[in-house]
Amino acid sequence: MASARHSGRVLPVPMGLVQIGPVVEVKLRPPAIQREFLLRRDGVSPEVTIKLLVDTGAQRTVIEQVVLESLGLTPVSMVPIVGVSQVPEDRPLFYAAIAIGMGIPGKDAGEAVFEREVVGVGSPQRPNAHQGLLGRDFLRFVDFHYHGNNGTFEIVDVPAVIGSSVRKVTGKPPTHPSQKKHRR
Amino acid sequence: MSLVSLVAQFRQSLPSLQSQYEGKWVIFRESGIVGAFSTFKEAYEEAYRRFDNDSSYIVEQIAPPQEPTPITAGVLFGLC
Repeated sequence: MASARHSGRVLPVPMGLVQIGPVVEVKLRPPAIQREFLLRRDGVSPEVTIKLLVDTGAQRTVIEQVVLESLGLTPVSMVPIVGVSQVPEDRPLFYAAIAIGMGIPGKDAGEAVFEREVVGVGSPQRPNAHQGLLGRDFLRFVDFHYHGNNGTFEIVDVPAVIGSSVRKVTGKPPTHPSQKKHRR
Repeated sequence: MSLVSLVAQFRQSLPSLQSQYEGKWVIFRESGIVGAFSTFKEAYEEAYRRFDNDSSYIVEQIAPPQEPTPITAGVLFGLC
């Protein structure tokens, strides 16, 4: 059985992947409990589409704070982080849902939703092609294949994801046995 | 109370909380701990149900103080 996967290709091949990196388009939302409350109360729940760079050098997933706040999220804590300067700095910690489109060869397989703590960081003076980083706290739930020679990458193996804090939402509900046509 | 003050109060209280809540995720307000849970998700969901997004609480794990997280975002987002 084929695993669901998110496939990315960065042009031009192969230097696009070198210069830009494995950037994934994701949908960022409030976590499920907040989303359900907002849907009941307002009939809508905010969502933004952003790009995140898969970064094996980042221990945690980080996203620009203005993007997180645009969803009405408020910090649930602060965490000390440190960059190459080695000077620790407290940054706000948010809780958010990150949804990634997944496919099985030839068809759409819905999305994998990753609900986790996310560090809010300041926006760079010069905007990047991405608004944050998918760190190793995300990668621990998936396989990540980097094909530098042909400028592609894949995030694979949703079954491994389902057992974690991530849940998969398939495009179609499974067919109940009573709904299946009988074959002669 | 600001987020920074609340986090500072929690860090100051941490040693006295460890024997009773070791390993638990707690909802912490100015008045102290208002709930203890096994996972962050459980604690967050209860806090949201009770206090919405009113910034009056934090969700923390009762554990030894964490080392600063190394992160390359320091470079990407001009933190360094």
